[in-house]
Amino acid sequence: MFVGKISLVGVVVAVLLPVLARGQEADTALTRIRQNKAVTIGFRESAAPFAYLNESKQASGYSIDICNRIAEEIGRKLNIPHIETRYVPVTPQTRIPLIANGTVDIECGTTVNSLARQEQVDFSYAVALAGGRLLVKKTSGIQDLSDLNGKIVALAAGTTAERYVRTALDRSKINVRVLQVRDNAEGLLAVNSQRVDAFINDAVLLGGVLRTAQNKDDFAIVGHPLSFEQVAFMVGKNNSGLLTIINGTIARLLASGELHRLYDQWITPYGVPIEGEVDTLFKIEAIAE
Amino acid sequence: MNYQWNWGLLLKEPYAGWLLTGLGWTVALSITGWLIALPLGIAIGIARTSSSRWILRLSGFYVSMFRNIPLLLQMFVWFFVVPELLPARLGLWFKRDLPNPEFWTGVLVLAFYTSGRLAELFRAGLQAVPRGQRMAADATGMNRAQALRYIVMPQALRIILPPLTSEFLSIVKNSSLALTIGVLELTAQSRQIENFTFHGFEAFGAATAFYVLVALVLNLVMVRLQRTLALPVAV
Repeated sequence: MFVGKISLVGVVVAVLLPVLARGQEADTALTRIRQNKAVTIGFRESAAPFAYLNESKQASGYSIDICNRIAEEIGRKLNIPHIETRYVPVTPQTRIPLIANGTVDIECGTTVNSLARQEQVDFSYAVALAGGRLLVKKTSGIQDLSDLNGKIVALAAGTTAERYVRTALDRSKINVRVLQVRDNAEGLLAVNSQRVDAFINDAVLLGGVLRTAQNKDDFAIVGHPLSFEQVAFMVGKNNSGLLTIINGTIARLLASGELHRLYDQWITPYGVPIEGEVDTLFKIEAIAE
Repeated sequence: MNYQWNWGLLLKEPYAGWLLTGLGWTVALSITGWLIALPLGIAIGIARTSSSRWILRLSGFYVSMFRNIPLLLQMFVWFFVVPELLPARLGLWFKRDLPNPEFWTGVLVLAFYTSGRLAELFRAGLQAVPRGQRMAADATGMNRAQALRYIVMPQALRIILPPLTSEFLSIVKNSSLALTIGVLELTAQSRQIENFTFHGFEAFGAATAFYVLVALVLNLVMVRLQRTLALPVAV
Protein backbone atom coordinates (compact mmCIF):
# COMPACT_ATOMS: atom_id res chain seq x y z
CA MET A 1 0.00 0.00 0.00
CA PHE A 2 2.80 2.36 1.02
CA VAL A 3 4.81 1.77 -2.15
CA GLY A 4 1.62 1.96 -4.16
CA LYS A 5 0.77 5.44 -2.87
CA ILE A 6 4.30 6.73 -3.43
CA SER A 7 4.37 5.52 -7.02
CA LEU A 8 0.94 7.02 -7.65
CA VAL A 9 2.20 10.44 -6.51
CA GLY A 10 5.26 9.93 -8.72
CA VAL A 11 3.12 9.22 -11.76
CA VAL A 12 0.97 12.32 -11.18
CA VAL A 13 4.04 14.53 -10.84
CA ALA A 14 5.67 13.00 -13.92
CA VAL A 15 2.55 13.66 -15.99
CA LEU A 16 2.14 17.25 -14.81
CA LEU A 17 5.72 18.44 -15.12
CA PRO A 18 6.16 18.51 -18.90
CA VAL A 19 2.87 20.41 -19.15
CA LEU A 20 4.18 23.05 -16.78
CA ALA A 21 7.60 23.32 -18.40
CA ARG A 22 6.76 24.32 -21.95
CA GLY A 23 9.13 26.20 -24.23
CA GLN A 24 9.39 29.96 -23.85
CA GLU A 25 8.84 32.75 -26.33
CA ALA A 26 10.88 35.94 -26.22
CA ASP A 27 9.55 39.23 -24.87
CA THR A 28 6.20 37.92 -23.68
CA ALA A 29 5.88 40.91 -21.34
CA LEU A 30 6.11 43.49 -24.16
CA THR A 31 3.57 41.53 -26.22
CA ARG A 32 1.26 41.51 -23.21
CA ILE A 33 1.74 45.24 -22.61
CA ARG A 34 0.97 45.97 -26.27
CA GLN A 35 -2.22 43.88 -26.12
CA ASN A 36 -3.53 45.30 -22.83
CA LYS A 37 -2.27 48.84 -23.41
CA ALA A 38 -1.21 48.65 -19.78
CA VAL A 39 1.94 48.02 -17.76
CA THR A 40 1.46 45.98 -14.59
CA ILE A 41 3.83 46.91 -11.81
CA GLY A 42 4.32 44.62 -8.84
CA PHE A 43 5.05 46.60 -5.70
CA ARG A 44 5.67 45.99 -2.00
CA GLU A 45 3.09 47.42 0.36
CA SER A 46 5.37 48.01 3.32
CA ALA A 47 8.90 48.58 2.14
CA ALA A 48 9.17 52.32 2.69
CA PRO A 49 10.81 54.37 1.26
CA PHE A 50 11.22 52.13 -1.81
CA ALA A 51 7.62 51.04 -2.23
CA TYR A 52 4.68 51.29 0.14
CA LEU A 53 1.02 52.24 0.39
CA ASN A 54 0.76 55.89 1.40
CA GLU A 55 -1.99 57.47 3.50
CA SER A 56 -4.40 57.52 0.56
CA LYS A 57 -3.66 53.82 -0.13
CA GLN A 58 -1.75 54.60 -3.33
CA ALA A 59 1.46 52.84 -4.29
CA SER A 60 4.27 55.29 -3.73
CA GLY A 61 7.97 55.46 -3.03
CA TYR A 62 11.31 55.72 -4.79
CA SER A 63 10.94 52.54 -6.86
CA ILE A 64 7.37 53.42 -7.81
CA ASP A 65 8.37 56.90 -9.03
CA ILE A 66 11.06 55.40 -11.24
CA CYS A 67 8.76 52.69 -12.55
CA ASN A 68 6.09 55.25 -13.46
CA ARG A 69 8.66 56.96 -15.66
CA ILE A 70 9.59 53.58 -17.12
CA ALA A 71 5.93 52.91 -17.92
CA GLU A 72 5.66 56.26 -19.75
CA GLU A 73 8.77 55.39 -21.71
CA ILE A 74 7.31 52.00 -22.66
CA GLY A 75 4.19 53.82 -23.90
CA ARG A 76 6.33 56.08 -26.09
CA LYS A 77 8.41 53.19 -27.47
CA LEU A 78 5.34 51.08 -28.29
CA ASN A 79 3.33 54.08 -29.58
CA ILE A 80 0.58 53.63 -27.00
CA PRO A 81 -0.69 57.07 -25.98
CA HIS A 82 -2.11 57.24 -22.42
CA ILE A 83 -0.65 53.88 -21.40
CA GLU A 84 -2.32 52.59 -18.25
CA THR A 85 -0.27 51.68 -15.19
CA ARG A 86 -1.70 48.97 -12.96
CA TYR A 87 -0.32 48.18 -9.52
CA VAL A 88 -0.37 44.70 -8.06
CA PRO A 89 0.83 44.18 -4.48
CA VAL A 90 3.46 41.46 -4.12
CA THR A 91 5.22 39.87 -1.16
CA PRO A 92 8.56 38.06 -1.08
CA GLN A 93 6.55 34.84 -1.42
CA THR A 94 4.39 35.87 -4.37
CA ARG A 95 6.74 37.96 -6.50
CA ILE A 96 8.22 35.04 -8.47
CA PRO A 97 4.95 33.17 -9.20
CA LEU A 98 3.31 36.45 -10.28
CA ILE A 99 6.14 37.24 -12.68
CA ALA A 100 6.26 33.64 -13.92
CA ASN A 101 2.56 33.52 -14.77
CA GLY A 102 2.58 36.97 -16.37
CA THR A 103 0.44 38.84 -13.84
CA VAL A 104 3.27 41.26 -13.16
CA ASP A 105 5.45 42.80 -15.90
CA ILE A 106 7.97 44.62 -13.71
CA GLU A 107 8.58 44.16 -10.00
CA CYS A 108 9.43 47.49 -8.39
CA GLY A 109 10.34 47.03 -4.77
CA THR A 110 13.50 46.40 -2.83
CA THR A 111 14.58 43.16 -4.48
CA VAL A 112 18.29 42.46 -4.29
CA ASN A 113 20.16 41.14 -7.32
CA SER A 114 22.08 37.88 -6.94
CA LEU A 115 23.56 35.30 -9.31
CA ALA A 116 21.39 32.51 -7.92
CA ARG A 117 18.29 34.64 -8.48
CA GLN A 118 19.41 35.50 -12.02
CA GLU A 119 18.85 31.88 -13.00
CA GLN A 120 15.14 32.54 -12.52
CA VAL A 121 14.63 36.24 -13.48
CA ASP A 122 16.51 39.15 -15.00
CA PHE A 123 17.41 42.32 -13.14
CA SER A 124 17.60 45.93 -14.30
CA TYR A 125 20.44 48.30 -13.51
CA ALA A 126 20.73 48.97 -9.80
CA VAL A 127 18.80 51.95 -8.47
CA ALA A 128 20.22 51.82 -4.95
CA LEU A 129 22.73 49.90 -2.85
CA ALA A 130 21.74 47.86 0.15
CA GLY A 131 24.11 47.72 3.07
CA GLY A 132 23.29 45.68 6.13
CA ARG A 133 23.67 47.50 9.45
CA LEU A 134 22.63 46.93 13.05
CA LEU A 135 19.54 48.33 14.74
CA VAL A 136 20.25 48.33 18.48
CA LYS A 137 19.07 49.92 21.68
CA LYS A 138 21.29 52.85 22.61
CA THR A 139 21.67 51.50 26.14
CA SER A 140 23.12 48.21 24.84
CA GLY A 141 26.46 49.84 24.01
CA ILE A 142 26.77 47.75 20.83
CA GLN A 143 28.76 49.67 18.22
CA ASP A 144 29.65 47.08 15.59
CA LEU A 145 29.51 43.42 14.68
CA SER A 146 32.46 42.65 16.95
CA ASP A 147 30.35 43.56 20.01
CA LEU A 148 27.86 40.83 19.23
CA ASN A 149 29.76 37.78 20.54
CA GLY A 150 27.40 35.61 22.59
CA LYS A 151 24.43 37.84 21.74
CA ILE A 152 21.20 37.23 19.86
CA VAL A 153 20.44 38.86 16.52
CA ALA A 154 17.25 39.03 14.48
CA LEU A 155 17.21 38.65 10.70
CA ALA A 156 14.13 39.24 8.56
CA ALA A 157 12.69 36.38 6.54
CA GLY A 158 12.69 37.09 2.82
CA THR A 159 15.97 39.00 2.88
CA THR A 160 19.44 37.94 1.88
CA ALA A 161 20.77 39.02 5.27
CA GLU A 162 21.27 35.44 6.44
CA ARG A 163 24.03 34.91 3.87
CA TYR A 164 26.12 38.03 4.47
CA VAL A 165 25.66 37.97 8.22
CA ARG A 166 26.82 34.35 8.43
CA THR A 167 29.84 35.16 6.25
CA ALA A 168 30.76 38.17 8.35
CA LEU A 169 30.33 36.23 11.59
CA ASP A 170 32.43 33.31 10.40
CA ARG A 171 35.14 35.63 9.17
CA SER A 172 35.46 37.37 12.51
CA LYS A 173 34.87 34.17 14.54
CA ILE A 174 31.88 35.63 16.36
CA ASN A 175 29.28 33.38 17.87
CA VAL A 176 25.67 34.57 17.91
CA ARG A 177 22.24 33.03 18.04
CA VAL A 178 19.94 33.97 15.16
CA LEU A 179 16.20 34.51 15.41
CA GLN A 180 14.24 34.79 12.19
CA VAL A 181 11.52 37.45 12.29
CA ARG A 182 8.80 37.90 9.72
CA ASP A 183 9.36 41.52 8.77
CA ASN A 184 10.99 44.78 9.77
CA ALA A 185 8.26 45.75 12.21
CA GLU A 186 8.75 42.48 14.08
CA GLY A 187 12.51 43.00 14.04
CA LEU A 188 12.04 46.34 15.76
CA LEU A 189 9.68 44.74 18.27
CA ALA A 190 12.25 42.03 19.01
CA VAL A 191 14.91 44.63 19.79
CA ASN A 192 12.50 46.74 21.80
CA SER A 193 11.36 43.80 23.94
CA GLN A 194 14.98 42.70 24.50
CA ARG A 195 14.32 39.38 22.82
CA VAL A 196 17.33 40.13 20.63
CA ASP A 197 20.26 42.51 20.97
CA ALA A 198 20.41 43.63 17.35
CA PHE A 199 18.32 43.50 14.22
CA ILE A 200 20.35 43.35 11.03
CA ASN A 201 18.94 44.55 7.72
CA ASP A 202 19.52 47.10 4.98
CA ALA A 203 20.21 50.51 6.55
CA VAL A 204 17.54 52.31 4.53
CA LEU A 205 14.85 49.81 5.51
CA LEU A 206 15.97 50.03 9.15
CA GLY A 207 15.61 53.80 8.92
CA GLY A 208 12.16 53.26 7.44
CA VAL A 209 10.92 51.04 10.25
CA LEU A 210 12.54 53.19 12.93
CA ARG A 211 10.33 56.09 11.82
CA THR A 212 7.32 54.06 12.89
CA ALA A 213 8.66 53.52 16.43
CA GLN A 214 7.13 55.53 19.25
CA ASN A 215 10.36 55.64 21.24
CA LYS A 216 12.71 56.18 18.29
CA ASP A 217 15.26 58.01 20.42
CA ASP A 218 15.99 54.78 22.30
CA PHE A 219 17.41 53.15 19.17
CA ALA A 220 20.46 53.63 17.01
CA ILE A 221 21.56 52.25 13.65
CA VAL A 222 25.24 51.36 14.03
CA GLY A 223 28.13 49.47 12.49
CA HIS A 224 30.05 49.31 9.24
CA PRO A 225 27.93 48.13 6.28
CA LEU A 226 28.05 44.32 6.31
CA SER A 227 27.04 43.88 2.70
CA PHE A 228 27.18 45.48 -0.70
CA GLU A 229 24.11 44.51 -2.66
CA GLN A 230 22.28 45.99 -5.62
CA VAL A 231 18.60 46.89 -5.35
CA ALA A 232 17.07 46.47 -8.79
CA PHE A 233 13.83 45.87 -10.66
CA MET A 234 12.90 42.40 -11.79
CA VAL A 235 11.43 41.05 -15.04
CA GLY A 236 10.82 37.52 -16.26
CA LYS A 237 13.51 35.70 -18.26
CA ASN A 238 13.71 36.26 -22.02
CA ASN A 239 12.43 39.84 -21.93
CA SER A 240 15.45 41.64 -23.34
CA GLY A 241 13.27 44.17 -25.20
CA LEU A 242 11.55 45.26 -22.00
CA LEU A 243 14.82 45.22 -20.10
CA THR A 244 16.43 47.49 -22.72
CA ILE A 245 13.68 50.06 -22.22
CA ILE A 246 13.95 49.83 -18.40
CA ASN A 247 17.73 50.19 -18.37
CA GLY A 248 17.61 52.96 -20.98
CA THR A 249 15.15 54.90 -18.83
CA ILE A 250 17.33 54.50 -15.74
CA ALA A 251 20.44 55.63 -17.68
CA ARG A 252 18.65 58.69 -19.06
CA LEU A 253 17.18 59.61 -15.67
CA LEU A 254 20.71 59.42 -14.27
CA ALA A 255 22.22 61.47 -17.11
CA SER A 256 19.60 64.20 -16.65
CA GLY A 257 19.99 64.26 -12.88
CA GLU A 258 16.32 63.34 -12.41
CA LEU A 259 17.15 60.11 -10.60
CA HIS A 260 19.46 61.98 -8.21
CA ARG A 261 16.54 64.26 -7.38
CA LEU A 262 14.25 61.29 -6.69
CA TYR A 263 16.96 59.62 -4.60
CA ASP A 264 17.48 62.77 -2.55
CA GLN A 265 13.73 63.08 -2.07
CA TRP A 266 13.14 59.49 -0.94
CA ILE A 267 16.32 57.77 0.21
CA THR A 268 18.71 60.45 1.49
CA PRO A 269 16.53 61.32 4.52
CA TYR A 270 17.09 57.72 5.69
CA GLY A 271 20.77 58.35 6.19
CA VAL A 272 22.24 56.94 2.97
CA PRO A 273 23.06 59.98 0.77
CA ILE A 274 24.52 59.98 -2.77
CA GLU A 275 28.19 59.70 -1.88
CA GLY A 276 30.96 57.16 -2.13
CA GLU A 277 29.76 53.95 -3.72
CA VAL A 278 26.26 55.19 -4.56
CA ASP A 279 27.78 58.18 -6.37
CA THR A 280 30.12 55.90 -8.33
CA LEU A 281 27.27 53.54 -9.21
CA PHE A 282 25.18 56.40 -10.56
CA LYS A 283 28.08 57.72 -12.66
CA ILE A 284 28.78 54.29 -14.14
CA GLU A 285 25.15 53.61 -15.00
CA ALA A 286 24.55 56.96 -16.70
CA ILE A 287 25.38 55.43 -20.08
CA ALA A 288 25.58 57.89 -22.97
CA GLU A 289 23.03 57.94 -25.80
CA MET B 1 4.55 30.10 -17.87
CA ASN B 2 7.90 31.85 -17.75
CA TYR B 3 9.62 29.70 -15.12
CA GLN B 4 13.00 27.98 -15.20
CA TRP B 5 12.64 24.59 -13.54
CA ASN B 6 15.65 23.21 -11.72
CA TRP B 7 14.87 20.24 -9.52
CA GLY B 8 18.55 19.33 -9.26
CA LEU B 9 18.99 22.39 -7.07
CA LEU B 10 17.32 20.57 -4.18
CA LEU B 11 20.10 18.00 -4.06
CA LYS B 12 22.79 20.67 -3.85
CA GLU B 13 24.29 22.05 -0.67
CA PRO B 14 23.28 24.04 1.29
CA TYR B 15 19.69 23.60 0.12
CA ALA B 16 19.47 19.83 0.65
CA GLY B 17 20.81 20.33 4.16
CA TRP B 18 18.29 23.08 4.87
CA LEU B 19 15.41 20.84 3.83
CA LEU B 20 16.64 17.97 5.99
CA THR B 21 17.17 20.13 9.09
CA GLY B 22 13.73 21.58 8.42
CA LEU B 23 12.27 18.09 8.33
CA GLY B 24 14.13 17.36 11.56
CA TRP B 25 12.57 20.35 13.32
CA THR B 26 9.12 19.46 11.99
CA VAL B 27 9.42 15.93 13.36
CA ALA B 28 10.87 17.18 16.66
CA LEU B 29 8.07 19.75 17.08
CA SER B 30 5.37 17.20 16.29
CA ILE B 31 6.67 14.37 18.44
CA THR B 32 7.59 16.51 21.46
CA GLY B 33 4.25 18.29 21.20
CA TRP B 34 2.45 14.98 20.93
CA LEU B 35 4.25 13.47 23.94
CA ILE B 36 3.08 16.40 26.07
CA ALA B 37 -0.41 16.59 24.53
CA LEU B 38 -1.27 12.91 24.98
CA PRO B 39 -1.06 12.65 28.82
CA LEU B 40 -2.58 16.12 29.17
CA GLY B 41 -5.40 15.18 26.82
CA ILE B 42 -6.06 11.92 28.68
CA ALA B 43 -6.16 13.70 32.05
CA ILE B 44 -8.49 16.45 30.83
CA GLY B 45 -10.58 13.91 28.94
CA ILE B 46 -11.11 11.89 32.13
CA ALA B 47 -11.93 15.11 33.96
CA ARG B 48 -14.56 15.81 31.30
CA THR B 49 -16.39 12.65 32.38
CA SER B 50 -16.15 13.49 36.07
CA SER B 51 -19.26 13.65 38.23
CA SER B 52 -17.99 16.75 40.06
CA ARG B 53 -19.53 19.89 38.61
CA TRP B 54 -16.45 22.00 39.32
CA ILE B 55 -14.06 19.65 37.60
CA LEU B 56 -16.47 19.47 34.67
CA ARG B 57 -16.58 23.26 34.39
CA LEU B 58 -12.83 23.72 34.70
CA SER B 59 -12.00 21.05 32.16
CA GLY B 60 -14.72 22.37 29.86
CA PHE B 61 -13.15 25.82 30.09
CA TYR B 62 -9.72 24.38 29.28
CA VAL B 63 -11.06 22.60 26.21
CA SER B 64 -12.96 25.58 24.84
CA MET B 65 -9.99 27.89 25.45
CA PHE B 66 -7.42 25.85 23.62
CA ARG B 67 -9.62 24.26 21.01
CA ASN B 68 -11.52 27.33 19.87
CA ILE B 69 -8.82 29.98 19.62
CA PRO B 70 -7.03 29.84 16.27
CA LEU B 71 -3.65 28.18 16.59
CA LEU B 72 -1.88 31.09 14.87
CA LEU B 73 -3.26 33.49 17.46
CA GLN B 74 -2.16 31.18 20.28
CA MET B 75 1.35 31.16 18.79
CA PHE B 76 1.45 34.96 18.84
CA VAL B 77 0.00 35.25 22.34
CA TRP B 78 2.46 32.79 23.87
CA PHE B 79 5.43 34.18 21.98
CA PHE B 80 4.81 37.92 22.11
CA VAL B 81 2.38 38.62 24.94
CA VAL B 82 2.93 36.05 27.70
CA PRO B 83 6.66 36.83 28.29
CA GLU B 84 5.74 40.51 28.73
CA LEU B 85 3.11 39.67 31.37
CA LEU B 86 5.55 37.62 33.44
CA PRO B 87 7.81 39.24 36.03
CA ALA B 88 10.62 40.99 34.11
CA ARG B 89 13.40 38.52 34.90
CA LEU B 90 11.32 35.43 34.19
CA GLY B 91 10.09 37.03 30.95
CA LEU B 92 13.66 37.73 29.86
CA TRP B 93 14.60 34.14 30.68
CA PHE B 94 11.77 32.93 28.45
CA LYS B 95 12.84 35.23 25.64
CA ARG B 96 16.60 34.78 25.80
CA ASP B 97 18.14 32.22 28.16
CA LEU B 98 15.85 29.28 27.61
CA PRO B 99 17.63 27.10 25.01
CA ASN B 100 15.75 27.40 21.71
CA PRO B 101 12.94 29.64 23.01
CA GLU B 102 11.13 29.60 19.64
CA PHE B 103 11.12 25.81 19.54
CA TRP B 104 9.87 25.33 23.09
CA THR B 105 7.22 28.01 22.74
CA GLY B 106 6.08 26.28 19.55
CA VAL B 107 6.02 22.88 21.27
CA LEU B 108 4.04 24.25 24.19
CA VAL B 109 1.44 25.91 21.97
CA LEU B 110 1.06 22.81 19.80
CA ALA B 111 0.78 20.63 22.91
CA PHE B 112 -1.91 22.78 24.56
CA TYR B 113 -3.92 23.15 21.36
CA THR B 114 -3.73 19.44 20.58
CA SER B 115 -4.48 18.43 24.17
CA GLY B 116 -7.74 20.39 23.98
CA ARG B 117 -8.75 18.42 20.92
CA LEU B 118 -7.53 15.12 22.38
CA ALA B 119 -9.49 15.73 25.58
CA GLU B 120 -12.75 15.84 23.64
CA LEU B 121 -11.69 12.73 21.77
CA PHE B 122 -11.00 10.85 25.00
CA ARG B 123 -14.24 12.06 26.55
CA ALA B 124 -16.18 10.75 23.55
CA GLY B 125 -14.24 7.47 23.68
CA LEU B 126 -14.87 6.97 27.39
CA GLN B 127 -18.55 7.70 26.95
CA ALA B 128 -18.77 5.35 23.99
CA VAL B 129 -17.91 2.33 26.15
CA PRO B 130 -21.24 0.68 27.02
CA ARG B 131 -22.44 1.50 30.55
CA GLY B 132 -22.78 -2.19 31.32
CA GLN B 133 -18.98 -2.49 31.33
CA ARG B 134 -18.68 -0.01 34.18
CA MET B 135 -21.48 -1.72 36.09
CA ALA B 136 -19.84 -5.11 35.63
CA ALA B 137 -16.58 -3.65 37.00
CA ASP B 138 -18.52 -2.31 39.98
CA ALA B 139 -20.06 -5.70 40.53
CA THR B 140 -16.67 -7.41 40.65
CA GLY B 141 -15.66 -5.04 43.45
CA MET B 142 -13.38 -2.70 41.53
CA ASN B 143 -13.21 0.91 42.64
CA ARG B 144 -13.68 3.71 40.09
CA ALA B 145 -9.98 4.12 39.34
CA GLN B 146 -9.54 0.40 38.77
CA ALA B 147 -12.63 0.26 36.55
CA LEU B 148 -11.22 3.10 34.48
CA ARG B 149 -7.74 1.62 34.29
CA TYR B 150 -8.61 -2.02 33.59
CA ILE B 151 -12.04 -1.99 31.97
CA VAL B 152 -13.10 1.31 30.42
CA MET B 153 -9.85 2.94 29.23
CA PRO B 154 -8.52 -0.08 27.28
CA GLN B 155 -11.78 -0.24 25.34
CA ALA B 156 -12.04 3.53 24.87
CA LEU B 157 -8.48 3.68 23.52
CA ARG B 158 -9.28 1.09 20.89
CA ILE B 159 -12.42 2.96 19.86
CA ILE B 160 -10.64 6.27 19.35
CA LEU B 161 -7.49 4.92 17.72
CA PRO B 162 -8.56 5.87 14.14
CA PRO B 163 -9.42 9.52 14.98
CA LEU B 164 -6.29 9.61 17.15
CA THR B 165 -4.31 8.90 13.99
CA SER B 166 -5.77 11.93 12.26
CA GLU B 167 -4.97 14.09 15.30
CA PHE B 168 -1.38 12.89 15.06
CA LEU B 169 -1.34 13.85 11.38
CA SER B 170 -2.86 17.23 12.32
CA ILE B 171 -0.10 18.09 14.75
CA VAL B 172 2.48 17.48 12.00
CA LYS B 173 0.67 19.85 9.67
CA ASN B 174 -0.01 22.39 12.42
CA SER B 175 3.67 22.45 13.31
CA SER B 176 4.25 24.52 10.17
CA LEU B 177 2.65 27.50 11.94
CA ALA B 178 5.71 27.60 14.20
CA LEU B 179 7.48 29.33 11.33
CA THR B 180 5.63 32.51 12.30
CA ILE B 181 7.56 32.63 15.57
CA GLY B 182 10.89 31.87 13.93
CA VAL B 183 11.25 28.08 14.10
CA LEU B 184 13.04 27.06 10.91
CA GLU B 185 10.98 23.94 10.25
CA LEU B 186 10.24 22.40 6.87
CA THR B 187 7.97 25.12 5.48
CA ALA B 188 10.24 27.91 6.73
CA GLN B 189 13.27 26.24 5.16
CA SER B 190 11.55 25.92 1.80
CA ARG B 191 10.66 29.61 2.00
CA GLN B 192 14.29 30.32 2.71
CA ILE B 193 15.35 28.32 -0.35
CA GLU B 194 12.80 30.16 -2.49
CA ASN B 195 14.14 33.44 -1.21
CA PHE B 196 17.75 32.64 -2.01
CA THR B 197 17.26 30.94 -5.36
CA PHE B 198 13.79 32.06 -6.54
CA HIS B 199 13.02 28.39 -7.19
CA GLY B 200 10.01 28.31 -4.91
CA PHE B 201 7.95 25.73 -6.76
CA GLU B 202 10.72 23.14 -6.43
CA ALA B 203 11.33 24.00 -2.76
CA PHE B 204 7.66 23.82 -1.81
CA GLY B 205 7.26 20.72 -3.96
CA ALA B 206 9.97 19.03 -1.91
CA ALA B 207 8.34 20.17 1.34
CA THR B 208 5.03 18.75 0.14
CA ALA B 209 6.68 15.43 -0.65
CA PHE B 210 8.25 15.33 2.81
CA TYR B 211 4.90 16.05 4.50
CA VAL B 212 3.26 13.29 2.46
CA LEU B 213 6.08 10.94 3.40
CA VAL B 214 5.73 11.69 7.12
CA ALA B 215 1.97 11.24 6.88
CA LEU B 216 2.29 7.90 5.09
CA VAL B 217 4.81 6.59 7.63
CA LEU B 218 2.61 7.70 10.54
CA ASN B 219 -0.40 6.14 8.91
CA LEU B 220 1.45 2.89 8.45
CA VAL B 221 2.58 2.83 12.09
CA MET B 222 -0.91 3.56 13.37
CA VAL B 223 -2.52 0.90 11.17
CA ARG B 224 0.00 -1.65 12.48
CA LEU B 225 -0.77 -0.55 16.03
CA GLN B 226 -4.47 -0.87 15.40
CA ARG B 227 -4.01 -4.44 14.11
CA THR B 228 -1.80 -5.39 17.05
CA LEU B 229 -4.24 -4.02 19.60
CA ALA B 230 -7.38 -5.41 17.97
CA LEU B 231 -9.33 -7.66 20.31
CA PRO B 232 -10.54 -11.07 19.17
CA VAL B 233 -14.05 -9.88 19.97
CA ALA B 234 -15.17 -6.52 18.61
CA VAL B 235 -16.23 -3.99 21.24
